[in-house]
Amino acid sequence: MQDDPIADVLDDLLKLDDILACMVARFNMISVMPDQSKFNPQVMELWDIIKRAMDDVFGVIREYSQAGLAEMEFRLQDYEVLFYVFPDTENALVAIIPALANKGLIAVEMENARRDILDIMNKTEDLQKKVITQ
Amino acid sequence: MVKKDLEAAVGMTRKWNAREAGRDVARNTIKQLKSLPKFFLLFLTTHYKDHGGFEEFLNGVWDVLPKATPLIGGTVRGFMNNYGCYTRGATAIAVSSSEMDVAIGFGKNTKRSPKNAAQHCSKMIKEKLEKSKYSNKFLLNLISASELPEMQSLGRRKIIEPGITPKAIMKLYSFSQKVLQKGAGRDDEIIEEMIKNFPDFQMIGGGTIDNGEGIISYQFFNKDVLTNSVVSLAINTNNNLDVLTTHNMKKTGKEFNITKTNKDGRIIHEINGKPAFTELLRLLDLSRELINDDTWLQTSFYFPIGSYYYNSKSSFGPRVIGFVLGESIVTGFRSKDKNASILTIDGRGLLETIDKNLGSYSKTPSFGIIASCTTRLETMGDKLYYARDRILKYFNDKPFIVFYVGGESTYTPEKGFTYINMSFNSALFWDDN
Repeated sequence: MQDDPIADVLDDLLKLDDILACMVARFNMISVMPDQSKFNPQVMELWDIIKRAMDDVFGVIREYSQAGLAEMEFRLQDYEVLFYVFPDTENALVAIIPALANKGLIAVEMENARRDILDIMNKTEDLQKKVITQ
Repeated sequence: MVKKDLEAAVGMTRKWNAREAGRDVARNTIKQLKSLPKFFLLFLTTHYKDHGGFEEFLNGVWDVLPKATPLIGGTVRGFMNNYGCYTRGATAIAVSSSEMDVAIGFGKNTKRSPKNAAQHCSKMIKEKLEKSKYSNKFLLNLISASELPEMQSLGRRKIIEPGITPKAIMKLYSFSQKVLQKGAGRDDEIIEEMIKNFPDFQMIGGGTIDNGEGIISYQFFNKDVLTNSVVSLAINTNNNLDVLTTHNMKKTGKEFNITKTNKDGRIIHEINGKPAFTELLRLLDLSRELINDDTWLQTSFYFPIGSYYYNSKSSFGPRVIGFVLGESIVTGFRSKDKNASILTIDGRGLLETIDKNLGSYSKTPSFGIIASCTTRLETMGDKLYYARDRILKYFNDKPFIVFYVGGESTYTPEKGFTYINMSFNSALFWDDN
Protein backbone atom coordinates (compact mmCIF):
# COMPACT_ATOMS: atom_id res chain seq x y z
CA MET A 1 0.00 0.00 0.00
CA GLN A 2 1.38 3.40 -0.95
CA ASP A 3 0.64 6.84 0.47
CA ASP A 4 -0.90 7.99 -2.79
CA PRO A 5 -4.29 6.39 -3.48
CA ILE A 6 -3.99 7.33 -7.18
CA ALA A 7 -0.81 5.27 -7.39
CA ASP A 8 -2.78 2.36 -5.90
CA VAL A 9 -5.35 2.66 -8.70
CA LEU A 10 -2.52 2.64 -11.27
CA ASP A 11 -0.87 -0.35 -9.59
CA ASP A 12 -4.16 -2.20 -9.86
CA LEU A 13 -4.44 -1.36 -13.55
CA LEU A 14 -0.87 -2.47 -14.17
CA LYS A 15 -1.68 -5.95 -12.89
CA LEU A 16 -3.78 -6.57 -16.02
CA ASP A 17 -1.75 -8.57 -18.55
CA ASP A 18 -2.21 -6.15 -21.44
CA ILE A 19 -1.47 -2.95 -19.55
CA LEU A 20 2.25 -2.62 -20.27
CA ALA A 21 2.64 0.77 -18.60
CA CYS A 22 0.29 3.40 -17.17
CA MET A 23 0.39 6.80 -15.52
CA VAL A 24 -1.45 10.03 -14.88
CA ALA A 25 0.20 12.74 -16.93
CA ARG A 26 -0.13 16.12 -18.61
CA PHE A 27 1.92 18.09 -21.14
CA ASN A 28 5.60 17.72 -20.30
CA MET A 29 4.87 16.26 -16.89
CA ILE A 30 4.12 12.86 -15.41
CA SER A 31 2.00 13.49 -12.33
CA VAL A 32 1.66 10.00 -10.89
CA MET A 33 3.51 6.93 -12.08
CA PRO A 34 3.53 3.49 -10.50
CA ASP A 35 6.75 1.59 -9.87
CA GLN A 36 8.49 1.74 -13.27
CA SER A 37 10.18 -1.60 -12.67
CA LYS A 38 6.75 -3.14 -13.24
CA PHE A 39 6.52 -1.65 -16.73
CA ASN A 40 7.07 -3.94 -19.69
CA PRO A 41 10.80 -3.82 -20.62
CA GLN A 42 10.01 -3.65 -24.36
CA VAL A 43 7.98 -0.49 -23.78
CA MET A 44 10.81 1.01 -21.79
CA GLU A 45 13.14 0.50 -24.77
CA LEU A 46 10.82 2.73 -26.80
CA TRP A 47 10.07 5.09 -23.95
CA ASP A 48 11.81 8.18 -25.37
CA ILE A 49 9.89 8.14 -28.63
CA ILE A 50 6.61 7.24 -26.92
CA LYS A 51 7.11 10.10 -24.46
CA ARG A 52 7.73 12.58 -27.31
CA ALA A 53 4.59 11.41 -29.14
CA MET A 54 2.63 11.61 -25.89
CA ASP A 55 3.63 15.22 -25.42
CA ASP A 56 2.32 16.04 -28.89
CA VAL A 57 -1.01 14.46 -27.97
CA PHE A 58 -1.07 16.37 -24.70
CA GLY A 59 -0.77 19.55 -26.76
CA VAL A 60 -4.10 18.62 -28.39
CA ILE A 61 -5.63 17.67 -25.04
CA ARG A 62 -4.58 21.02 -23.58
CA GLU A 63 -6.26 22.76 -26.49
CA TYR A 64 -9.55 20.84 -26.48
CA SER A 65 -10.21 19.35 -23.03
CA GLN A 66 -12.36 22.35 -22.07
CA ALA A 67 -14.41 21.68 -25.22
CA GLY A 68 -15.18 18.17 -24.05
CA LEU A 69 -12.32 16.10 -25.50
CA ALA A 70 -12.59 12.85 -23.57
CA GLU A 71 -10.39 10.25 -25.22
CA MET A 72 -7.47 10.00 -27.63
CA GLU A 73 -5.20 7.23 -28.80
CA PHE A 74 -2.32 6.59 -31.16
CA ARG A 75 -0.55 3.55 -32.48
CA LEU A 76 3.22 3.44 -32.51
CA GLN A 77 4.95 0.33 -33.87
CA ASP A 78 3.42 -2.62 -31.98
CA TYR A 79 1.82 -0.54 -29.25
CA GLU A 80 -1.21 1.62 -28.69
CA VAL A 81 -1.27 4.50 -26.26
CA LEU A 82 -4.67 5.33 -24.76
CA PHE A 83 -5.50 8.69 -23.19
CA TYR A 84 -8.56 9.01 -20.93
CA VAL A 85 -8.85 12.71 -20.19
CA PHE A 86 -10.04 13.96 -16.81
CA PRO A 87 -12.88 16.35 -17.69
CA ASP A 88 -12.00 20.07 -17.84
CA THR A 89 -8.34 19.43 -17.03
CA GLU A 90 -5.18 18.96 -19.07
CA ASN A 91 -4.52 15.66 -17.28
CA ALA A 92 -5.18 12.21 -18.61
CA LEU A 93 -4.91 8.63 -17.53
CA VAL A 94 -2.48 7.07 -20.00
CA ALA A 95 -1.95 3.39 -20.73
CA ILE A 96 0.30 1.61 -23.18
CA ILE A 97 -1.10 -1.65 -24.51
CA PRO A 98 -0.19 -4.12 -27.28
CA ALA A 99 -1.62 -2.95 -30.61
CA LEU A 100 -3.64 -6.14 -31.00
CA ALA A 101 -4.87 -6.40 -27.43
CA ASN A 102 -8.56 -6.96 -26.69
CA LYS A 103 -9.16 -3.23 -26.34
CA GLY A 104 -12.82 -3.52 -25.38
CA LEU A 105 -11.96 -5.31 -22.17
CA ILE A 106 -9.15 -2.89 -21.35
CA ALA A 107 -11.36 0.13 -22.08
CA VAL A 108 -13.85 -0.93 -19.40
CA GLU A 109 -11.10 -1.06 -16.76
CA MET A 110 -9.54 2.19 -18.02
CA GLU A 111 -12.90 3.88 -17.52
CA ASN A 112 -13.17 2.39 -14.02
CA ALA A 113 -9.69 3.68 -13.20
CA ARG A 114 -10.58 7.13 -14.55
CA ARG A 115 -13.71 7.19 -12.38
CA ASP A 116 -11.76 6.03 -9.31
CA ILE A 117 -9.08 8.68 -9.82
CA LEU A 118 -11.69 11.39 -10.38
CA ASP A 119 -13.34 10.34 -7.15
CA ILE A 120 -10.02 10.61 -5.31
CA MET A 121 -9.36 14.03 -6.88
CA ASN A 122 -12.80 15.30 -5.85
CA LYS A 123 -12.44 14.03 -2.31
CA THR A 124 -9.02 15.65 -2.00
CA GLU A 125 -10.45 18.91 -3.29
CA ASP A 126 -13.34 18.77 -0.79
CA LEU A 127 -10.89 18.11 2.02
CA GLN A 128 -8.72 21.06 0.99
CA LYS A 129 -11.78 23.34 0.91
CA LYS A 130 -12.73 22.22 4.41
CA VAL A 131 -9.23 22.93 5.71
CA ILE A 132 -9.27 26.40 4.16
CA THR A 133 -12.65 27.30 5.63
CA GLN A 134 -11.68 26.09 9.13
CA MET B 1 -52.74 -14.70 3.43
CA VAL B 2 -49.78 -15.25 1.14
CA LYS B 3 -46.61 -13.69 2.44
CA LYS B 4 -44.69 -11.67 -0.18
CA ASP B 5 -41.11 -11.37 0.89
CA LEU B 6 -39.01 -11.67 -2.26
CA GLU B 7 -35.65 -10.13 -1.56
CA ALA B 8 -32.54 -10.02 -3.73
CA ALA B 9 -29.04 -8.67 -3.26
CA VAL B 10 -26.11 -8.12 -5.60
CA GLY B 11 -22.56 -8.00 -4.28
CA MET B 12 -19.17 -7.76 -5.87
CA THR B 13 -15.45 -7.67 -5.22
CA ARG B 14 -12.41 -6.12 -6.85
CA LYS B 15 -9.89 -7.79 -4.56
CA TRP B 16 -7.14 -9.72 -6.35
CA ASN B 17 -6.41 -12.45 -3.82
CA ALA B 18 -8.78 -15.35 -4.53
CA ARG B 19 -9.57 -16.27 -0.91
CA GLU B 20 -10.11 -12.67 0.17
CA ALA B 21 -12.18 -11.96 -2.94
CA GLY B 22 -14.37 -15.00 -2.30
CA ARG B 23 -15.07 -13.83 1.24
CA ASP B 24 -15.61 -10.27 0.09
CA VAL B 25 -18.19 -11.03 -2.59
CA ALA B 26 -20.11 -13.41 -0.31
CA ARG B 27 -20.07 -10.95 2.60
CA ASN B 28 -21.12 -7.97 0.45
CA THR B 29 -24.01 -9.93 -0.99
CA ILE B 30 -25.36 -11.79 2.03
CA LYS B 31 -25.25 -8.85 4.42
CA GLN B 32 -27.97 -7.12 2.38
CA LEU B 33 -30.50 -9.91 2.96
CA LYS B 34 -32.77 -10.16 6.00
CA SER B 35 -33.33 -13.92 5.55
CA LEU B 36 -31.09 -16.81 4.57
CA PRO B 37 -30.44 -16.97 0.82
CA LYS B 38 -32.30 -19.57 -1.23
CA PHE B 39 -29.40 -19.61 -3.71
CA PHE B 40 -26.11 -17.90 -4.50
CA LEU B 41 -25.19 -17.24 -8.12
CA LEU B 42 -21.55 -16.39 -8.77
CA PHE B 43 -19.69 -14.97 -11.78
CA LEU B 44 -16.00 -14.18 -11.92
CA THR B 45 -13.29 -13.38 -14.41
CA THR B 46 -10.47 -15.84 -14.98
CA HIS B 47 -7.88 -13.55 -13.37
CA TYR B 48 -8.32 -15.50 -10.15
CA LYS B 49 -6.68 -18.50 -11.76
CA ASP B 50 -3.31 -16.77 -11.23
CA HIS B 51 -4.16 -15.20 -7.88
CA GLY B 52 -4.88 -18.18 -5.70
CA GLY B 53 -7.11 -20.26 -7.97
CA PHE B 54 -10.81 -20.95 -8.20
CA GLU B 55 -10.85 -23.57 -5.41
CA GLU B 56 -9.44 -20.97 -3.06
CA PHE B 57 -11.99 -18.44 -4.30
CA LEU B 58 -14.81 -20.84 -3.47
CA ASN B 59 -13.19 -21.60 -0.08
CA GLY B 60 -13.41 -17.88 0.58
CA VAL B 61 -17.08 -17.80 -0.41
CA TRP B 62 -17.83 -20.74 1.89
CA ASP B 63 -16.01 -19.05 4.78
CA VAL B 64 -18.98 -16.68 4.73
CA LEU B 65 -21.92 -18.29 2.92
CA PRO B 66 -24.41 -20.16 5.15
CA LYS B 67 -23.88 -23.92 4.83
CA ALA B 68 -26.08 -25.75 2.34
CA THR B 69 -26.88 -22.63 0.30
CA PRO B 70 -27.19 -23.89 -3.29
CA LEU B 71 -24.36 -22.28 -5.31
CA ILE B 72 -23.68 -22.35 -9.02
CA GLY B 73 -21.61 -20.07 -11.20
CA GLY B 74 -18.95 -19.81 -13.82
CA THR B 75 -16.21 -17.77 -15.41
CA VAL B 76 -17.25 -14.86 -17.63
CA ARG B 77 -15.46 -12.22 -19.70
CA GLY B 78 -16.99 -9.42 -17.68
CA PHE B 79 -20.06 -8.34 -15.82
CA MET B 80 -22.27 -5.37 -15.10
CA ASN B 81 -24.36 -4.75 -12.02
CA ASN B 82 -25.87 -1.92 -9.96
CA TYR B 83 -22.35 -0.73 -9.10
CA GLY B 84 -20.70 -0.53 -12.53
CA CYS B 85 -19.16 -2.42 -15.46
CA TYR B 86 -16.14 -4.67 -14.97
CA THR B 87 -13.82 -6.96 -16.89
CA ARG B 88 -11.99 -8.05 -13.74
CA GLY B 89 -13.40 -9.19 -10.44
CA ALA B 90 -16.44 -11.12 -9.28
CA THR B 91 -20.11 -10.52 -8.71
CA ALA B 92 -22.91 -12.51 -7.12
CA ILE B 93 -26.64 -12.38 -6.66
CA ALA B 94 -28.46 -14.03 -3.76
CA VAL B 95 -32.20 -14.26 -3.31
CA SER B 96 -34.40 -15.08 -0.36
CA SER B 97 -38.11 -15.77 -0.47
CA SER B 98 -40.47 -17.92 1.54
CA GLU B 99 -42.24 -18.83 -1.68
CA MET B 100 -39.45 -20.49 -3.53
CA ASP B 101 -38.05 -24.01 -3.94
CA VAL B 102 -34.60 -24.29 -5.40
CA ALA B 103 -32.54 -27.14 -6.84
CA ILE B 104 -29.17 -27.23 -8.53
CA GLY B 105 -27.63 -29.85 -10.75
CA PHE B 106 -24.62 -30.53 -12.91
CA GLY B 107 -23.57 -32.77 -15.79
CA LYS B 108 -20.05 -33.48 -17.01
CA ASN B 109 -18.43 -34.13 -20.41
CA THR B 110 -20.66 -31.68 -22.25
CA LYS B 111 -18.49 -31.53 -25.36
CA ARG B 112 -18.36 -35.31 -25.70
CA SER B 113 -21.86 -36.33 -24.61
CA PRO B 114 -24.11 -33.30 -24.21
CA LYS B 115 -27.24 -35.42 -23.92
CA ASN B 116 -25.87 -37.50 -21.05
CA ALA B 117 -24.65 -34.36 -19.26
CA ALA B 118 -28.10 -32.79 -19.56
CA GLN B 119 -29.79 -35.95 -18.33
CA HIS B 120 -27.57 -36.17 -15.25
CA CYS B 121 -28.21 -32.54 -14.46
CA SER B 122 -31.97 -32.92 -15.03
CA LYS B 123 -32.18 -35.96 -12.74
CA MET B 124 -30.59 -34.07 -9.85
CA ILE B 125 -33.04 -31.21 -10.26
CA LYS B 126 -36.14 -33.36 -10.72
CA GLU B 127 -35.43 -35.35 -7.56
CA LYS B 128 -35.12 -32.19 -5.52
CA LEU B 129 -38.18 -30.41 -6.92
CA GLU B 130 -40.49 -33.40 -7.00
CA LYS B 131 -42.70 -32.13 -4.19
CA SER B 132 -42.60 -28.45 -5.04
CA LYS B 133 -46.04 -26.86 -5.14
CA TYR B 134 -45.16 -23.63 -6.91
CA SER B 135 -46.35 -23.10 -10.44
CA ASN B 136 -43.85 -20.62 -11.91
CA LYS B 137 -40.73 -22.46 -12.99
CA PHE B 138 -37.33 -21.19 -14.01
CA LEU B 139 -34.06 -22.75 -15.08
CA LEU B 140 -30.66 -21.08 -15.53
CA ASN B 141 -28.14 -23.15 -17.50
CA LEU B 142 -24.45 -22.27 -17.46
CA ILE B 143 -22.51 -24.39 -19.91
CA SER B 144 -18.86 -24.57 -20.87
CA ALA B 145 -18.74 -22.68 -24.19
CA SER B 146 -16.68 -23.49 -27.26
CA GLU B 147 -12.94 -23.81 -26.76
CA LEU B 148 -10.18 -23.83 -29.34
CA PRO B 149 -9.63 -27.34 -30.65
CA GLU B 150 -6.37 -29.11 -29.84
CA MET B 151 -5.24 -30.24 -33.27
CA GLN B 152 -2.12 -32.19 -32.31
CA SER B 153 0.66 -31.26 -34.75
CA LEU B 154 -1.40 -28.29 -36.03
CA GLY B 155 -1.62 -26.68 -32.58
CA ARG B 156 -4.38 -24.59 -30.98
CA ARG B 157 -5.23 -21.73 -33.27
CA LYS B 158 -8.29 -19.81 -34.43
CA ILE B 159 -7.32 -20.45 -38.04
CA ILE B 160 -5.84 -23.72 -39.18
CA GLU B 161 -4.44 -23.03 -42.63
CA PRO B 162 -5.23 -25.54 -45.39
CA GLY B 163 -2.26 -27.84 -45.74
CA ILE B 164 -3.44 -31.32 -45.07
CA THR B 165 -6.55 -32.77 -46.71
CA PRO B 166 -9.96 -31.55 -45.47
CA LYS B 167 -10.74 -35.12 -44.42
CA ALA B 168 -7.59 -35.29 -42.27
CA ILE B 169 -8.40 -31.92 -40.65
CA MET B 170 -11.90 -33.13 -39.79
CA LYS B 171 -10.49 -36.32 -38.29
CA LEU B 172 -8.16 -34.32 -36.07
CA TYR B 173 -11.04 -32.02 -35.11
CA SER B 174 -13.26 -34.95 -34.27
CA PHE B 175 -10.53 -36.36 -31.99
CA SER B 176 -10.18 -32.98 -30.31
CA GLN B 177 -13.95 -32.64 -29.83
CA LYS B 178 -14.76 -36.11 -28.62
CA VAL B 179 -11.60 -37.30 -26.88
CA LEU B 180 -9.93 -34.12 -25.63
CA GLN B 181 -13.23 -32.19 -25.31
CA LYS B 182 -11.77 -29.14 -26.99
CA GLY B 183 -14.05 -27.74 -29.67
CA ALA B 184 -17.67 -26.66 -30.06
CA GLY B 185 -19.53 -26.04 -26.80
CA ARG B 186 -22.62 -27.96 -28.00
CA ASP B 187 -24.54 -25.95 -25.42
CA ASP B 188 -27.53 -25.76 -27.81
CA GLU B 189 -27.79 -29.55 -27.71
CA ILE B 190 -27.72 -29.53 -23.91
CA ILE B 191 -30.50 -26.99 -23.66
CA GLU B 192 -32.64 -28.89 -26.15
CA GLU B 193 -32.37 -31.88 -23.82
CA MET B 194 -33.17 -29.73 -20.80
CA ILE B 195 -36.28 -28.47 -22.62
CA LYS B 196 -37.37 -32.07 -23.20
CA ASN B 197 -37.01 -32.72 -19.47
CA PHE B 198 -38.51 -29.43 -18.27
CA PRO B 199 -40.94 -28.30 -20.99
CA ASP B 200 -42.99 -26.12 -18.62
CA PHE B 201 -39.99 -24.12 -17.35
CA GLN B 202 -38.79 -20.72 -18.55
CA MET B 203 -35.08 -20.81 -19.21
CA ILE B 204 -32.08 -18.61 -19.77
CA GLY B 205 -28.63 -19.88 -20.65
CA GLY B 206 -25.09 -18.72 -21.27
CA GLY B 207 -21.76 -20.29 -22.15
CA THR B 208 -18.96 -19.77 -19.63
CA ILE B 209 -15.75 -18.39 -21.15
CA ASP B 210 -12.26 -17.18 -20.28
CA ASN B 211 -10.78 -13.71 -20.75
CA GLY B 212 -10.35 -13.96 -24.51
CA GLU B 213 -8.05 -16.79 -25.43
CA GLY B 214 -10.86 -19.34 -25.75
CA ILE B 215 -8.70 -21.98 -24.11
CA ILE B 216 -10.72 -23.09 -21.06
CA SER B 217 -13.61 -21.99 -18.88
CA TYR B 218 -14.82 -23.11 -15.46
CA GLN B 219 -18.16 -23.87 -13.89
CA PHE B 220 -18.89 -23.86 -10.17
CA PHE B 221 -21.16 -26.23 -8.28
CA ASN B 222 -21.23 -25.71 -4.52
CA LYS B 223 -17.56 -26.30 -3.55
CA ASP B 224 -16.51 -27.92 -6.82
CA VAL B 225 -14.70 -26.36 -9.76
CA LEU B 226 -15.68 -28.09 -13.00
CA THR B 227 -14.71 -27.92 -16.66
CA ASN B 228 -16.65 -29.11 -19.73
CA SER B 229 -19.80 -29.17 -17.62
CA VAL B 230 -23.29 -27.77 -17.33
CA VAL B 231 -24.43 -26.35 -14.00
CA SER B 232 -28.09 -25.41 -13.58
CA LEU B 233 -30.20 -23.56 -11.09
CA ALA B 234 -33.90 -24.40 -10.99
CA ILE B 235 -36.42 -22.22 -9.18
CA ASN B 236 -40.04 -23.04 -8.52
CA THR B 237 -41.83 -20.03 -7.12
CA ASN B 238 -45.04 -18.13 -6.64
CA ASN B 239 -43.26 -15.01 -7.82
CA ASN B 240 -43.73 -13.97 -11.42
CA LEU B 241 -41.08 -14.22 -14.06
CA ASP B 242 -40.44 -13.97 -17.77
CA VAL B 243 -37.51 -14.31 -20.15
CA LEU B 244 -36.71 -12.65 -23.50
CA THR B 245 -33.96 -12.59 -26.14
CA THR B 246 -33.25 -9.59 -28.39
CA HIS B 247 -30.34 -8.92 -30.76
CA ASN B 248 -31.41 -6.07 -33.09
CA MET B 249 -28.99 -7.03 -35.85
CA LYS B 250 -29.79 -6.02 -39.41
CA LYS B 251 -29.05 -7.69 -42.74
CA THR B 252 -26.28 -6.02 -44.75
CA GLY B 253 -27.53 -7.22 -48.11
CA LYS B 254 -24.57 -9.57 -48.51
CA GLU B 255 -26.44 -12.82 -49.03
CA PHE B 256 -25.21 -16.26 -50.00
CA ASN B 257 -26.07 -19.93 -50.11
CA ILE B 258 -24.62 -22.45 -47.72
CA THR B 259 -24.20 -25.41 -50.04
CA LYS B 260 -22.36 -27.98 -47.90
CA THR B 261 -22.19 -28.49 -44.15
CA ASN B 262 -21.46 -31.29 -41.73
CA LYS B 263 -24.37 -33.45 -40.56
CA ASP B 264 -25.77 -31.08 -37.93
CA GLY B 265 -25.03 -27.87 -39.84
CA ARG B 266 -22.58 -26.40 -37.32
CA ILE B 267 -19.61 -26.61 -39.69
CA ILE B 268 -19.92 -24.87 -43.07
CA HIS B 269 -17.76 -26.56 -45.72
CA GLU B 270 -18.95 -24.75 -48.83
CA ILE B 271 -20.59 -21.43 -49.67
CA ASN B 272 -22.05 -20.87 -53.16
CA GLY B 273 -20.56 -24.24 -54.13
CA LYS B 274 -17.03 -23.05 -53.33
CA PRO B 275 -14.64 -23.64 -50.40
CA ALA B 276 -16.35 -21.79 -47.55
CA PHE B 277 -13.67 -19.55 -46.02
CA THR B 278 -12.22 -18.28 -49.29
CA GLU B 279 -15.73 -17.58 -50.65
CA LEU B 280 -16.79 -15.80 -47.46
CA LEU B 281 -13.71 -13.54 -47.61
CA ARG B 282 -14.45 -12.80 -51.28
CA LEU B 283 -18.04 -11.81 -50.43
CA LEU B 284 -16.73 -9.55 -47.69
CA ASP B 285 -13.95 -8.05 -49.83
CA LEU B 286 -11.46 -9.04 -47.17
CA SER B 287 -7.92 -10.17 -47.82
CA ARG B 288 -6.86 -13.40 -46.17
CA GLU B 289 -3.82 -11.68 -44.66
CA LEU B 290 -6.14 -9.46 -42.62
CA ILE B 291 -7.68 -12.38 -40.78
CA ASN B 292 -5.33 -14.28 -38.53
CA ASP B 293 -5.04 -15.37 -34.90
CA ASP B 294 -3.73 -11.96 -33.83
CA THR B 295 -6.48 -9.96 -35.54
CA TRP B 296 -9.28 -12.44 -34.85
CA LEU B 297 -11.01 -10.50 -32.06
CA GLN B 298 -10.89 -7.27 -34.07
CA THR B 299 -12.29 -8.77 -37.23
CA SER B 300 -14.33 -11.98 -37.04
CA PHE B 301 -16.97 -10.58 -34.65
CA TYR B 302 -17.93 -7.98 -37.23
CA PHE B 303 -19.33 -10.28 -39.90
CA PRO B 304 -21.65 -12.69 -38.10
CA ILE B 305 -23.68 -14.99 -40.32
CA GLY B 306 -27.43 -14.61 -39.95
CA SER B 307 -29.22 -17.95 -39.90
CA TYR B 308 -32.22 -19.72 -38.46
CA TYR B 309 -31.29 -21.94 -35.55
CA TYR B 310 -31.23 -25.62 -36.57
CA ASN B 311 -34.80 -26.56 -37.61
CA SER B 312 -36.42 -23.47 -36.07
CA LYS B 313 -38.64 -21.19 -38.14
CA SER B 314 -38.63 -18.38 -35.58
CA SER B 315 -35.17 -18.23 -33.99
CA PHE B 316 -33.22 -16.14 -36.49
CA GLY B 317 -30.06 -14.36 -35.47
CA PRO B 318 -26.32 -13.96 -35.69
CA ARG B 319 -23.95 -16.85 -35.31
CA VAL B 320 -20.32 -16.04 -34.81
CA ILE B 321 -17.46 -17.87 -36.43
CA GLY B 322 -15.70 -19.83 -33.70
CA PHE B 323 -12.71 -20.98 -35.66
CA VAL B 324 -11.63 -21.93 -39.17
CA LEU B 325 -10.34 -25.39 -40.04
CA GLY B 326 -8.71 -25.16 -43.46
CA GLU B 327 -11.63 -23.99 -45.58
CA SER B 328 -14.34 -25.09 -43.12
CA ILE B 329 -15.99 -22.56 -40.82
CA VAL B 330 -17.03 -23.78 -37.37
CA THR B 331 -19.94 -21.60 -36.19
CA GLY B 332 -21.63 -20.90 -32.87
CA PHE B 333 -24.68 -23.05 -33.43
CA ARG B 334 -26.25 -25.71 -35.64
CA SER B 335 -28.34 -24.58 -38.57
CA LYS B 336 -30.16 -26.21 -41.48
CA ASP B 337 -30.73 -22.80 -43.07
CA LYS B 338 -29.27 -22.69 -46.58
CA ASN B 339 -29.98 -18.98 -47.16
CA ALA B 340 -27.55 -16.96 -45.11
CA SER B 341 -26.65 -13.31 -44.91
CA ILE B 342 -24.09 -11.15 -43.19
CA LEU B 343 -25.54 -9.15 -40.31
CA THR B 344 -24.40 -5.91 -38.74
CA ILE B 345 -25.19 -3.49 -35.92
CA ASP B 346 -23.92 -0.09 -34.76
CA GLY B 347 -23.52 1.39 -31.28
CA ARG B 348 -27.01 2.89 -31.29
CA GLY B 349 -28.41 -0.49 -32.30
CA LEU B 350 -26.57 -2.20 -29.45
CA LEU B 351 -28.23 0.17 -26.98
CA GLU B 352 -31.65 -0.19 -28.60
CA THR B 353 -31.39 -3.96 -28.09
CA ILE B 354 -31.67 -3.24 -24.36
CA ASP B 355 -34.72 -0.99 -24.81
CA LYS B 356 -36.44 -3.55 -27.03
CA ASN B 357 -35.82 -6.18 -24.41
CA LEU B 358 -36.40 -4.53 -21.03
CA GLY B 359 -38.98 -2.12 -22.45
CA SER B 360 -41.24 -5.05 -23.31
CA TYR B 361 -41.83 -5.93 -19.64
CA SER B 362 -44.87 -4.23 -18.15
CA LYS B 363 -43.84 -4.80 -14.51
CA THR B 364 -40.99 -3.31 -12.53
CA PRO B 365 -38.66 -6.19 -11.70
CA SER B 366 -37.70 -7.22 -8.17
CA PHE B 367 -34.44 -8.54 -9.59
CA GLY B 368 -32.95 -9.60 -12.91
CA ILE B 369 -30.43 -12.05 -14.30
CA ILE B 370 -29.19 -11.12 -17.76
CA ALA B 371 -26.94 -13.12 -20.09
CA SER B 372 -25.33 -11.00 -22.79
CA CYS B 373 -22.86 -11.89 -25.50
CA THR B 374 -19.26 -10.92 -24.83
CA THR B 375 -19.08 -9.41 -28.33
CA ARG B 376 -21.43 -6.68 -27.08
CA LEU B 377 -19.03 -5.96 -24.22
CA GLU B 378 -15.91 -6.06 -26.36
CA THR B 379 -17.45 -3.85 -29.03
CA MET B 380 -18.72 -1.19 -26.64
CA GLY B 381 -15.68 -1.06 -24.35
CA ASP B 382 -15.98 1.87 -21.93
CA LYS B 383 -19.24 2.89 -23.67
CA LEU B 384 -20.74 -0.06 -21.84
CA TYR B 385 -21.57 2.52 -19.19
CA TYR B 386 -24.18 3.90 -21.63
CA ALA B 387 -25.79 0.46 -21.60
CA ARG B 388 -25.65 0.35 -17.82
CA ASP B 389 -27.35 3.74 -17.55
CA ARG B 390 -30.26 2.38 -19.59
CA ILE B 391 -30.50 -0.82 -17.58
CA LEU B 392 -30.42 1.11 -14.29
CA LYS B 393 -33.42 3.11 -15.52
CA TYR B 394 -35.47 -0.07 -16.02
CA PHE B 395 -34.42 -1.60 -12.72
CA ASN B 396 -34.97 1.53 -10.67
CA ASP B 397 -32.40 0.52 -8.00
CA LYS B 398 -33.55 -3.11 -7.90
CA PRO B 399 -30.68 -5.62 -8.07
CA PHE B 400 -29.48 -7.00 -11.39
CA ILE B 401 -26.52 -8.77 -12.89
CA VAL B 402 -25.49 -8.84 -16.54
CA PHE B 403 -22.89 -11.53 -17.20
CA TYR B 404 -20.96 -11.64 -20.48
CA VAL B 405 -20.77 -15.07 -22.06
CA GLY B 406 -20.45 -16.91 -25.36
CA GLY B 407 -23.67 -18.47 -26.71
CA GLU B 408 -26.94 -17.31 -25.16
CA SER B 409 -30.45 -18.68 -25.11
CA THR B 410 -33.94 -18.37 -23.70
CA TYR B 411 -36.91 -20.69 -23.73
CA THR B 412 -40.55 -20.39 -22.74
CA PRO B 413 -43.35 -22.86 -23.50
CA GLU B 414 -45.15 -20.05 -25.38
CA LYS B 415 -42.27 -18.41 -27.26
CA GLY B 416 -40.21 -21.55 -27.80
CA PHE B 417 -36.43 -21.88 -27.90
CA THR B 418 -34.16 -19.07 -29.03
CA TYR B 419 -30.47 -19.80 -29.35
CA ILE B 420 -28.26 -17.18 -30.98
CA ASN B 421 -25.01 -15.30 -30.52
CA MET B 422 -24.45 -11.55 -29.99
CA SER B 423 -27.68 -11.19 -28.04
CA PHE B 424 -29.15 -9.72 -24.86
CA ASN B 425 -31.18 -12.19 -22.78
CA SER B 426 -33.14 -11.21 -19.71
CA ALA B 427 -34.81 -13.17 -16.94
CA LEU B 428 -36.82 -10.83 -14.74
CA PHE B 429 -38.64 -11.69 -11.52
CA TRP B 430 -41.30 -9.65 -9.77
CA ASP B 431 -43.95 -10.01 -7.13
CA ASP B 432 -47.37 -8.39 -7.24
CA ASN B 433 -46.76 -6.02 -4.33
